[in-house]
Amino acid sequence: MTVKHFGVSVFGSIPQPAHMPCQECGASVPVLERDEHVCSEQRRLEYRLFQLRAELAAFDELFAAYLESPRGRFELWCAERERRSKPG
Amino acid sequence: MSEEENKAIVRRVNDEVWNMGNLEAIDELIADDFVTTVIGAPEQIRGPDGFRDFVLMYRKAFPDLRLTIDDQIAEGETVVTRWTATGTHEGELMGIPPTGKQATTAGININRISGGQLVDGWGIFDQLGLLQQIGAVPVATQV
Ligand SMILES: [Zn+2]
Repeated sequence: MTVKHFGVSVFGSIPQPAHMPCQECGASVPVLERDEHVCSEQRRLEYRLFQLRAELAAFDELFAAYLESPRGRFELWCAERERRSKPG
Repeated sequence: MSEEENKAIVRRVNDEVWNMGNLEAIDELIADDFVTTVIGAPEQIRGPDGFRDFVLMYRKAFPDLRLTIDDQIAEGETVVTRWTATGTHEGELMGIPPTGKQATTAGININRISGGQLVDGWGIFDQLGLLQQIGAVPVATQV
């Protein structure tokens, strides 16, 4: 007898979790309800920010290093010149 | 204590310790000679300190951990609790780096309560499913 469970044969296969995280927002979604799942925009944003946390944490350091580089110093000089040239 | 009071002790452990992270309640609710077996764990959890370490390991990995009791059955000093827990994997778990993914697992604990404290226990939960959800173990291809 073959028993179907979450679309996968129970016997002769690795057990399947009853929930899986949504690939877009990371929310825990019951496998049987995944077709009805709608991502929360807030959760999707938080999930994306979490994936980028290392880059975000490193941003200040990278930005400071960039400003010290020849190109960064030149851009700073240009920005300062533009600011001074504006009236008021 | 009555069976209902014993159930309430287990509910306090779930609500105050697991959900709210009130680790000070452990000294009140867990007996000094408490010992519990969690299937799959390398060793038994012993005493309030051992239980605190166990809770901390999961609460650090899933800081928003939410444990819900689905069913409780009591007979004498024994309380059987079926539970479901959901949390976001934001901290390292047994060397597995955080993924930001939410995971849900379920389990059953059998505890003996005496004098308002958990004195021993046995528990099992879907550890494989938890590891699959945070990507540490592959999920078989769906058919
Ligand atoms: Zn989603």
